[in-house]
Amino acid sequence: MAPKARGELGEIRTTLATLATNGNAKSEAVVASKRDVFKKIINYMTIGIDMSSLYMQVMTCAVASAEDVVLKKMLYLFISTYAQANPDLTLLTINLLTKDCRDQDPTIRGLALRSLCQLRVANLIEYLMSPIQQGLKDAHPYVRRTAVMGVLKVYHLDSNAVLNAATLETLREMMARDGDAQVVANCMTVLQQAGRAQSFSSRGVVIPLVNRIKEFSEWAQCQVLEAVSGYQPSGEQEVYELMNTLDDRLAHSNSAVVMATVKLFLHLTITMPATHQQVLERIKEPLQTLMSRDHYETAYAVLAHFLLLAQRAPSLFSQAYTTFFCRQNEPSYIKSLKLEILVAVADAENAHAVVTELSEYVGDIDEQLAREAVRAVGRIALDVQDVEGIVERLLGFLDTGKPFVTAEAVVQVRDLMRRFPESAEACIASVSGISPEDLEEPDAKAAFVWILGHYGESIQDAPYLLERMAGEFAGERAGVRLALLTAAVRLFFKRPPECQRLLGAVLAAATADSNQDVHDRGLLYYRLLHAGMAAAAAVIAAPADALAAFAEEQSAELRNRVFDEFNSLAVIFRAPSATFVPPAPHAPLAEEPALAPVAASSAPVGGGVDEGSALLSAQEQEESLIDVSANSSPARPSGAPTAGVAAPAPPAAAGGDLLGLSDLLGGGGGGGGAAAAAAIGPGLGPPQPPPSPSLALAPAPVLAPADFQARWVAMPVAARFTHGLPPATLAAVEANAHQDFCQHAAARGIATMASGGAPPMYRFYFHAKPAGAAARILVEAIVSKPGALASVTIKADDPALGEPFAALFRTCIDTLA
Amino acid sequence: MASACSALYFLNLKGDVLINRTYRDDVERNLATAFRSHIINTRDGDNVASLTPVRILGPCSFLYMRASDVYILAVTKSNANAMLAFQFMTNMVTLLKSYFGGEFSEQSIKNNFVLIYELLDETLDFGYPQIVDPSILKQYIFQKGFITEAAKAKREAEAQNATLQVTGAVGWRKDNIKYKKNEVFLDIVEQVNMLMSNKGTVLRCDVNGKIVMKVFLSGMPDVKLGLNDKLEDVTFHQCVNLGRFNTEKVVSFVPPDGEFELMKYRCQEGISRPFSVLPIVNELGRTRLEVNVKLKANFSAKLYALNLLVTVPVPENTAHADIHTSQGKAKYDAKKHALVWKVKRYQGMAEHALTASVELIATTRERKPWGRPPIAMAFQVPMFSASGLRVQYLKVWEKSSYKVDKWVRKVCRSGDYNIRI
Repeated sequence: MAPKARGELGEIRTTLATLATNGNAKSEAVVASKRDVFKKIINYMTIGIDMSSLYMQVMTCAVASAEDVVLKKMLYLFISTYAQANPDLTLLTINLLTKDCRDQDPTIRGLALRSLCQLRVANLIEYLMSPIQQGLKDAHPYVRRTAVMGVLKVYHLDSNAVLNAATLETLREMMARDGDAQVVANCMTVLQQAGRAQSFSSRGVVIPLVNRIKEFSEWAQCQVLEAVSGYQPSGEQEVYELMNTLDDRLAHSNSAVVMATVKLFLHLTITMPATHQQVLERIKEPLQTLMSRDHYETAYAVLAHFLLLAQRAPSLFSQAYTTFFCRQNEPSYIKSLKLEILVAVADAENAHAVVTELSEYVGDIDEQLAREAVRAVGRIALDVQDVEGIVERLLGFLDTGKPFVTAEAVVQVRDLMRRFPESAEACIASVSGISPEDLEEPDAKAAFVWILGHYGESIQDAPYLLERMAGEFAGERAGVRLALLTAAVRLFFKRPPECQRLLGAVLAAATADSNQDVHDRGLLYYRLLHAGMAAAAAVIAAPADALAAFAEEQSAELRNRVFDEFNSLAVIFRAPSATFVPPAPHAPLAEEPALAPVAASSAPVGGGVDEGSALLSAQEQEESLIDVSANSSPARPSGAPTAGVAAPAPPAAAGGDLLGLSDLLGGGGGGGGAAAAAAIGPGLGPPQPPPSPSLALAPAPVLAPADFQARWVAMPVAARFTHGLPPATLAAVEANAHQDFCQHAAARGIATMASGGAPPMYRFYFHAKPAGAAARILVEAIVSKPGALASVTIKADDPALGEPFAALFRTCIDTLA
Repeated sequence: MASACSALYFLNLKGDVLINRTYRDDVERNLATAFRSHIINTRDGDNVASLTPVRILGPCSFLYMRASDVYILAVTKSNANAMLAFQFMTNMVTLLKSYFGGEFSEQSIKNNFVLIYELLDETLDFGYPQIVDPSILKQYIFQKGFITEAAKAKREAEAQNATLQVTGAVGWRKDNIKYKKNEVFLDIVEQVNMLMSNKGTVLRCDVNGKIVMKVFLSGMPDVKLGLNDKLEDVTFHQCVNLGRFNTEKVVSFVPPDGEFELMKYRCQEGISRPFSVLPIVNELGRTRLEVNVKLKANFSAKLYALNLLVTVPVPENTAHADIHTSQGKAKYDAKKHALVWKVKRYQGMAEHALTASVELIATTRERKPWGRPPIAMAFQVPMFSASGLRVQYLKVWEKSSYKVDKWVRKVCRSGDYNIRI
């Protein structure tokens, strides 16, 4: 596009020059042609052609016809796009805009002020504060509105400029006094964004806003409602008053207003269970109306909220289950959410109807929907166990002739059998009708193999089915290989003569496997079997307890945290915002006493793993320890044994030693057997001495700010030291609003609770959690820039953690390159 | 709380940026590329998560919706309010439509860059919604250059006026409107959705309705609308006095000038289904299918349904269909794999039927049974209300007490009207 653009550019340049010099700048004809040229320029600008070289001409041309608002608007648009690229001309631009901020026309004053605040140039702040202050006092609301937002823009550039000028005080005053609702709304925005959310905690502020709510634009109403949901009413009476006043908001045509009202009501009544229940009843209808809006996107957002509510209070929506039946033309993301809601609301009464409906979707042409429907039926079978016909339907899916339906159904039947072993008998008859060739998907194969392994005694040809599948051992996914391995061993305990060949083949293949997990498990089983049948059976084939719940299910605690952030993306992503919103660059620490800001900045910084799953992983570690305790073999044995193991296993001699373990591996030859024994030797030896007392930290600890504060007060000081900062670290501390350093620390398991301050002093609060322990370590680090020194205070539940952590923290400071 | 939108994009279906505005510097400039490669052109179409209208890419959340051939995309780095974002984008489309003469498309955007920039600047400031009401914005957006030198004197006064109205008691109406002939048009538009099982049980049936008004009234009229109490859940235009509705069930309002949507409602109880359908579809062996669909109109014989369309799905391997209907025309549509039956004008209370004998090609691919998708119906019935909503009165008061011509219409349209077979 270059040559043509240049041609056009040249042409425009000439036209601009002519227009600037010739003719009467005020004549209509000239103004009209100027507008045409400007339009052309903006069109080019929009399609991505660089017009910045015309900066000077455009300015001259527009200034000559300064009375024309249309031209002026286009000029502002142009300069705010290209100001950054033309630092030489910036001063000229600023002068022009500052002058226009004093224009007689309020529209121009507002526009100029807005453009001025949007310029993305260095050292802008010194020019901004005075026009903004003036704008705040302007007689016209349009200008005041713009000025208020200007304050926020400055705040983001340099919070001190705003704090020093006590502008926030002015805004607080304006919020209470100003007659224009949009001005008030913008004041609210700024105060909230500037970390002054506590401005809305007093009755004197909140009640007038609520009483005025009808004056506000629909967007500002959302804001008011949101602000009120952070307010603590003095008592139940006040809660009722607030809800009565705001009840009609639930009938507003703006879906955002309705949802904000819903949130407010839910949060106001959270400590009043009976009223909370009434509120849930009240909001049911409005929410259903929102869902039936013309736009699927809105419906999607509403459904995400429905799902959360349905999971919290399933009984509430159990009558309205037909609302969540899918419609033919809905996009798949809607259908998928609806299925989840149907699962959540299914109870003994409606389960039959819901499952009947879901069975329709199983026959749908949309494969994704059909799969999800099978899963949904499986989930309902787990949740609502004693309703007749559900398990039968699920078993019916095994035999629909569609491979993917069968595959999904096998997985669900497996889960059902894990959860309700007593239902196994009914399932086995249907499952045994499946031939392994019907299953193509790894998950389904693994599930099928699991069933064969656990209930092989009741399935006549289980060993042969497994054998057929084991024939393809190397070609399967790791998950299937692991399942085959376990199933072979389990079944071996039950039907030894039929399974010996299978076991030999599988163990040989597994121990030669390149996948670490498969290899290790194969070796573990081999050694367990070697150590003794009884011990092995106790570990591998221990009678399975029925599962109470599946780990994939979202914990109630996590849901509560999401509920706290109702009406935000957290609900849609089903995770607390801390997991997807980048931490705020700094929590405001200025003008507050030492620890108060930690409480004020309500977003827990860093983190990402909820505590539930962290606990789980700790538990898992423990479990794996139990498994190995008989013959602990922490490390993989060195090269030689693998070669010995890899030798093809000859068929075991019938009779005699049933186990025939020496035959299973190493082919009975003296050398091979010795190698295997040698390999096993070190593994069975005494456990290695524990490593030197260094501290391992959990990767992403999570701690609520309030919790942090409470612990900080309660915990003893474990260590205190000062440490010099290398230049690189000091730079990282300063750069990017502390983010670089915090990320560096986070990579080492040290999460940031809050950070802030201004040169030459910065203050940081970190927290960490030793892996696998419940203890906490809290850190305060005060960095002084002149001396490049950090004064660090470490507090910990266990004072012994102090020194190792201090060492770790020093390394963390020193290793930033 | 922080629901600031960092940038707003308009893109065409290929993912090329038509126009965009970045409101905050906290996001990268090349977001459109990410949107294009990860959302529009994504290959993993099977993955439902990839199709949802809210996505996370890197540190940013993308919220997008499609309107005709344009994607509107809002990008935010905060834990934004999704309801608000989608509502805002919806209103934005309405706003642009009102400027582009009812059209919203890639072309209309390309023709109006300068105007859109102006609107984008007025509607969002630093990413926070300001004013999106067309009737107000139109008074102080000067695109098309209709302000001439001669009008300049008036301009300031007007601007003063316009901005004041934004927050006045009735922000949605100017006070010096005059019409020679005062008229009010009220349309009740209902969409009836139904799902019936193959055994004839109604699994789901609901009505989504709205009342759309066109008001050409002088001065500051006060309008009262009385409705029979049939509605389960209602939302109103901001002009409606909600308190009065809750206490007296009267919809009372000072209407905006011109066309607007007065209210939306929804009901599930006591719905009269315009059509009952009795389908019989029998598979006779591998190669034949017998179809018999009986249709009955349940509305008064004085009314007519227009443009009735019944789509009866048949298997993909259909070779030929021999169809008879007692009214209208029917044929086999090979593209849709369906028998399509059209009746231009279907009288109330009438019963008609379609019978067809469908021949299938014997296929070698055996293991794919026919999914038996539901029969779908499309129609509209003028002057019929499936919810039973009636206008009991429509009164207009104005201090000059002029004569008003009032027109009330109703229409019932099909939404998802499906019958399983």
